[in-house]
Amino acid sequence: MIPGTMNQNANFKITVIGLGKAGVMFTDHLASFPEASWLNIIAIDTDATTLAQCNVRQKILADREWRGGQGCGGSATNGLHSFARFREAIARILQGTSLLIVTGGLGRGTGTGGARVFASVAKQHNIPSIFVMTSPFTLEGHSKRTVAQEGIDEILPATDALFCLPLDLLFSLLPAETPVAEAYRLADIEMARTILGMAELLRSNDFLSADFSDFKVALNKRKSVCSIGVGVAGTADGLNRSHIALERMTQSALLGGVNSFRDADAIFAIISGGGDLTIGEMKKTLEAASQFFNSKAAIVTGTSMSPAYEDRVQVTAVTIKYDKNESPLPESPPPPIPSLFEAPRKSRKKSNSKKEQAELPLQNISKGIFEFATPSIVNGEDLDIPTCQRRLINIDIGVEQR
Amino acid sequence: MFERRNILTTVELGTSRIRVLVGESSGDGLQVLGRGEASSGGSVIKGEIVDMDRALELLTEALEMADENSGKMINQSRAVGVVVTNSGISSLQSVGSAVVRAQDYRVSESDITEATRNANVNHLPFERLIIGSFDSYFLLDGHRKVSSPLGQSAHRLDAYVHVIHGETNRIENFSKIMQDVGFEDNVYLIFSGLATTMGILTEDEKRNGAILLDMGAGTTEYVTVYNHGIMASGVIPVGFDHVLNDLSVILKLHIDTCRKLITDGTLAAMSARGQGFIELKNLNSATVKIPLVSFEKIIDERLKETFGVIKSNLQSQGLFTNIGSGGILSGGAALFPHTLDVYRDVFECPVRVGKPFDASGAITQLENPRYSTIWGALKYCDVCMKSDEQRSGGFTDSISSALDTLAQNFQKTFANVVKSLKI
Repeated sequence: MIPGTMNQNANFKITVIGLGKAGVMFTDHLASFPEASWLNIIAIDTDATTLAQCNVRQKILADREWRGGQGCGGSATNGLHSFARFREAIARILQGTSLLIVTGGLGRGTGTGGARVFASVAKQHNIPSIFVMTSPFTLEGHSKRTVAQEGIDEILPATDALFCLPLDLLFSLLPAETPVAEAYRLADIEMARTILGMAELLRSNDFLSADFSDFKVALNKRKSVCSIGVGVAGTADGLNRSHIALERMTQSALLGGVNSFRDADAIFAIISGGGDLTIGEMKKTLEAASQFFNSKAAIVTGTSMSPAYEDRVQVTAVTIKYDKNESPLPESPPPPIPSLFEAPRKSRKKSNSKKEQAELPLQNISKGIFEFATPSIVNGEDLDIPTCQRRLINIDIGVEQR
Repeated sequence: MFERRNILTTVELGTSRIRVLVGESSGDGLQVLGRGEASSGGSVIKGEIVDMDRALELLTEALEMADENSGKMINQSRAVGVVVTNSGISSLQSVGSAVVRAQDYRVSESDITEATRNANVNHLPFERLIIGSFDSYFLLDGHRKVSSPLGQSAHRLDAYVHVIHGETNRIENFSKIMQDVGFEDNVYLIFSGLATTMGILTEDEKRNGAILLDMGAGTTEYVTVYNHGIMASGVIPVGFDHVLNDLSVILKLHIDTCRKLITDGTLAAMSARGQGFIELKNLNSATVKIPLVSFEKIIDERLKETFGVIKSNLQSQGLFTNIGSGGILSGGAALFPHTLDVYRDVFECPVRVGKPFDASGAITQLENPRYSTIWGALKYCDVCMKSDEQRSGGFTDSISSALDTLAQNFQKTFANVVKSLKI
């Protein structure tokens, strides 16, 4: 499945898919980096307006016939439907791809729904896939988080690696007076950098090797908490450009601070540079970086060369911390308890609206053909009742056609 | 010239189909002479006969077909086997020991018999009936584990025996229906899982250890084998009909629609093509467009749960070890390729589809996982008959005592336990 040597030969092609509004923005910035020219970048969305604002060469409006270019309206089921109809086209898009990177935001329609379909198509065609998704801000509330968590549960079994990067981290390092538009732009650039770093990490094996198989072994299908840091510096930035790049990497928002190196069980570190990267520079940087690392961690280092990095050095690090109990999404704090003074105001506001009794979703439990047979009770469960109903798994039962 | 031929007949009353197989045991092996088959028509649910009259009618039909096929041989049968399965069946591991008294301390046939007999003295309540007992392994001097202790040097011999037993009334149904169609003597009861084990496991698998799952329409039997001994066995009253029922209940489709989708391979072909949706007529005969993932999810959840129950059963008894040759899947469910994938995922071992590979004779075409059990039953019957003849020189007392009354049963227990079977 994965070639032993992942050189940048003609056969090795990394496809980066930007899904949904967030994904399209990330790929938009990614496409503007000259170093990313070797990537096959595609922006896909169900919303025509988002795509119109984006400068990626390959843009695809998914499911025009049903969604009509209006987006999914934040419903992951709609997103799933749209892309399920789109399956064959996806398979065509992915033809000849050696590695698939999908990026987007979890918690809304197109990103969450579409990512599942991409994961399953990639698995079906034996294309190794990595998902670099953002999880919603804590301030965006519980419902989005639930949608995101469902998305994660669906993607996780089908993919080789899922990076779930909390958006909260992206803004954590910015000063509070940063203009909103600027903050979002910086966040998008940071994500684009991260994806590029990720791609760089997997193609490098020019001198020191670190490739996808190393990466998969390190992840080893265990649930783990990962963070990524990318720093880039040019000759113009100062005398010791690789040192500056390293420093920027450690300050990178998605890394979550230098301490992640201390706690990590496995670390991947890659230096990317142009023809002017010297062995001394490489050695010095890797040595300097290893000061931060946990001495017991499994460390894989590598370099990659590309003329696009002329005059510049990029340091990318991925830290992996195995964790059996923790889910990839950090738990959200409990919702604030409304104060006594606020409560009446709220109710007054609502008094105009019609009062309706809330409906509880009642599931119709049925045993079908086993209704009158001896029940099959195993460990206290009646196995004649469909598993999905007992486990309260939501199944899309389709739409009646007129 | 006028030597009596060793004709064997076996009957399987399965949830979906009733099958009859007629064979002949001769010097050069077992030959299949004829085969009969009829749909169970709802008379058997989850391996249990629920409608005796209807089952009898259909069994007669299948028997006549087999009789026709085999050239009117059924009436000459020397032994008849009937495959039994249902949720009441369970097993116990029992141990018995014997002191080796011979001067040179070599284990003799009579020591083995004594140990095995002691192992079979157990305290099952009256409503439980022993279907069969099988050697698991022998222990010499309390620590050397062997599968065949004969002639070995030892002071003490412990026999570990795997006893399969079921609820008397439910099991007797099977004997009664055989009486009704005219088989009074020499009727062997055969636990379905064991029959399948006999039918399709290769020598390698029996030696290195393997786990067999036989997923039929109504029940799933499991057996683990190691070093030619049965280590664990059991029945889960969940079969492939449950998968179809889940689909029909959740997606509000007719169960026959679901069955057709799966048995004719439409579903598998569609998911291989990467088709996203499927259009079907639902119960209100309106056309409904259902995402294929829904089907996959429902099937997956059910199969995962069923295999998971079996795995945790084995694990809780500490028997999920010694399966060097991996898993074997048999029964109708093996025809649906996805079952194998889920099996592999849950048990995390290499798996294969098992089907009869050594059947010979006029009517073959038994190379289908559906026929694993009935073919194994024929082999089992052959072994039982031979070992009976060897012991008594005749075939008057049989290994199985299911046909007898309880009083006789008690007396006969002696004959019953003299020999456990090796597989």
